[in-house]
Amino acid sequence: MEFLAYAGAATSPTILAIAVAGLIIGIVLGALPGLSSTFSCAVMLPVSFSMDPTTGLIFLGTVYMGSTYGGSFAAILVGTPGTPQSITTTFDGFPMAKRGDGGLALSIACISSVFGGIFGIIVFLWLAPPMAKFALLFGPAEYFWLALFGLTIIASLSEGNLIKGLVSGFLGLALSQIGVSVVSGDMRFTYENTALIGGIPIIPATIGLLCMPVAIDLIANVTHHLEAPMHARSTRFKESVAAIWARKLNLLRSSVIGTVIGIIPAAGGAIASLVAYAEASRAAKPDDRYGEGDPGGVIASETANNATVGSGLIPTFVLGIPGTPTDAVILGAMMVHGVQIGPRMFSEHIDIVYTFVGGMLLATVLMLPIGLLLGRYIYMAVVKMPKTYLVPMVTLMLLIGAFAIQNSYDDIVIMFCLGVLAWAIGRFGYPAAPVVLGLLLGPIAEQGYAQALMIGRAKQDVGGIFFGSTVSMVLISCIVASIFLPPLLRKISTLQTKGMRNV
Amino acid sequence: MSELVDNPATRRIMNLASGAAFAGLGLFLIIASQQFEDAGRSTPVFIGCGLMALAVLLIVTEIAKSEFLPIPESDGGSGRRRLVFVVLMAVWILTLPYLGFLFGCSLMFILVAMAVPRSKPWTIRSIALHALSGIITTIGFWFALTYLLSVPLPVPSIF
Repeated sequence: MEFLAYAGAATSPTILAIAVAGLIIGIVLGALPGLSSTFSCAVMLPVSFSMDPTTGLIFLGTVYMGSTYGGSFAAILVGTPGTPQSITTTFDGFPMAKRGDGGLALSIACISSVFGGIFGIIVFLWLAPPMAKFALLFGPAEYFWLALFGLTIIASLSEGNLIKGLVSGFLGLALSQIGVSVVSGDMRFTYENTALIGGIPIIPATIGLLCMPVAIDLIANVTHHLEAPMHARSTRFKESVAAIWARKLNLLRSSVIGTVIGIIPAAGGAIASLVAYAEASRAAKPDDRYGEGDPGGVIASETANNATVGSGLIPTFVLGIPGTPTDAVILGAMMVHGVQIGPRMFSEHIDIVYTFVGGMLLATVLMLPIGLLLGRYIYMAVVKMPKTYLVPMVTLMLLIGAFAIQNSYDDIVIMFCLGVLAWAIGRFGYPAAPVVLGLLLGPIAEQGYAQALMIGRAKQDVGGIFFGSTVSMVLISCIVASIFLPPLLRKISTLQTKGMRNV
Repeated sequence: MSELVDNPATRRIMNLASGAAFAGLGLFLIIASQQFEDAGRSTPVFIGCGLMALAVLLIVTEIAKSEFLPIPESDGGSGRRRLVFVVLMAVWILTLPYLGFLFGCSLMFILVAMAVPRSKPWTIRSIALHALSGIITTIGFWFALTYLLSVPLPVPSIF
C-alpha cells in the first residue's frame, strides 16, 4: 500500500510526459548501431540535473529502458545490433526480417521487452534487500566460473560446427589479451601502439565484428535488402502474442535468467541475453530452428536484456555497487542529486525509491504502444528505403557508433580492422559471435582466476577457493550440464527415434 | 551466408589453410608471451595452447572426415563491389581527420551510394538527390551529436 501511495506521484502529467520523452529518446539512440544504453544515459545525464531527483531518475531510467529495447530495431531490420545487449537478437530477428516477418519480430521484441522489464522491476520491488545479499556471494572464483559458463554458450552460437565456434571463441580470448594485463601490469601485444594500451574496446569491436560483415555483404547484391511484408499496415500484434504464448516457458526462463544475471555486479544485459539465448536453444523442440529465424530467439534475447534493467538496480540501490555499466551512470546521477545510497536508502529515501519504481513500471507499460507504433513505421521505412540510401546511412552510423563512445579516432580504425577480419573468417566458416563473446568474457575470467589463485595461495587452500562455495559448485554443475547434456539428449532422442522405427 | 561450398577440394583447402593459420596464431601467442611476468603469461599461453589444439583437431578432422566441416557460401553478388566498399571505407576513415566529419562524410556518402548496385542507370538528377541526402543526413547527425549530445566530431585540418 505504501508503494501504491508513492507510485501514484509518478502518474502526474509532468512525470508522464518526461517518461514518454525518455522512452522515445532511448529507443531512437538505442536503434543507432553502437550507441549503447550506457552512452544514451551518459549523454542524457546533464539533462536530468535540471530536474528534481525523482523526476531525473525516472527520466534516466526510461532512457535506459528505451535504449535497451531500441537496440533490437537495428538488430532485426539491418542485422547490426544497436547495442551489445541485442547481439543475440540478430541471430533470429534478422533472418525473420529477411523472409518478410520483420514486423512480427519487432512486435515480439517489444512485448518480450515489456514483459522482461516488468518482471525485473517487480523483483526489484519485492526482493531488493535479500537479493543484494546474493550478489555479495560472488567472489573472484565465482566470477571465473560465471565467465567459463558464459563461454559454454559458444556451442549454441557455432552454427553446426563446434570446433570452428571454439576457434572463434579462442580468437576472441586472444584479442582480449591485448593491452595492459589486469593481473601483472605487463603491456601485452601492444607493440608500442598507444591506441591498444587500454585493450580492444568492446563497443567498436562489437560493431566491427558483427555489423561490418553485414554492410560488406549488403553492397554486393542488387536485390532488395528485406522481403516486402505481407501485412504492411499491421503490427501483427495478435500473431506476436500467440507466438509468445506458445513459448511462455522460454519467456519466463529468460526473465529469470535476465533478473539473476542483472543482480550480479558488472555482468550486464549482453551476458544475460547470451545465456538466455543459449538456454532457449538448448531447450528447443526438434521443430524449432534457432539461428534461422525462430521467434524463440528474439523472445529469449529481448526478455533477458530488459529484465536486467530493473534487477541491476538492486545492487546499485542497496549496496552502491552498479549491476550494469548503465547503472553506474544512474548511481552517479543519484550522488549528484544528493541521494544517499545503501541499505538506509530504503528507510530514509523510500519516497524516491517507490516513486522511481512506479515511474519505471509505468514507462515500461507505455513502451508497449510506443514501441509497437515506432516499430511499425521504422520497419516500413527500412523496407522501402532503396539500398543506395540504406548502405551509406548504415556505414555512416557504424562510424559514428564506433567514434561516439570515447570520441576516439583509433576506435574507428579498430572497428574497421576487426570488421574486415570478421568478414574474412566468416568466408572460411568461422562465426563472429563467439569472437565477441571471448572478447567480452576474457578479462572477467582472467581477473577472477588470478585473484582467486592469489587468495587461495595466501590461504594455502587453492582448491577450497575454487570449489569450496555453493555458488561455485552450482556454476560448475551448470558448465558440465551445458557441455554434456545437449549431446546426451540428442543421443537419447536418436535412440528413441530408432527404437520407434524398429517397433 | 546460407548455402554450403559444394566443391570438396575447395572446402578442404580452405579448412586446412585456416586451421594452419590459427595454429600459427596459437604458436605466436605462446612464443610472444615468454617476455611477460609469470602472472601475465599464464592466460595468453593457455589461450595459445587451446587455439593450437583446436586448430590441429580441425585439421585432423578435415583430413579424416572431409564431410564434417561445412563452409557457408556467401549470398553471392559482386566480389569487386565488396572490395570497392572496403577500399572506400578505408579511404573514408583515413581522410576523416583531414577532411573533417561534415565534408568527409558528405563526400563519402555519395561515393558509397554510387558503389551500390542499381537496377536503373545513374543520372545527374539521381546523383544530385543522393548528394543532397548525404549532406542533409550528415548535417543532421553533426547537429545532433555536437549540440544535443555534446560529442565533439573531427574538424577538417586541411582547410
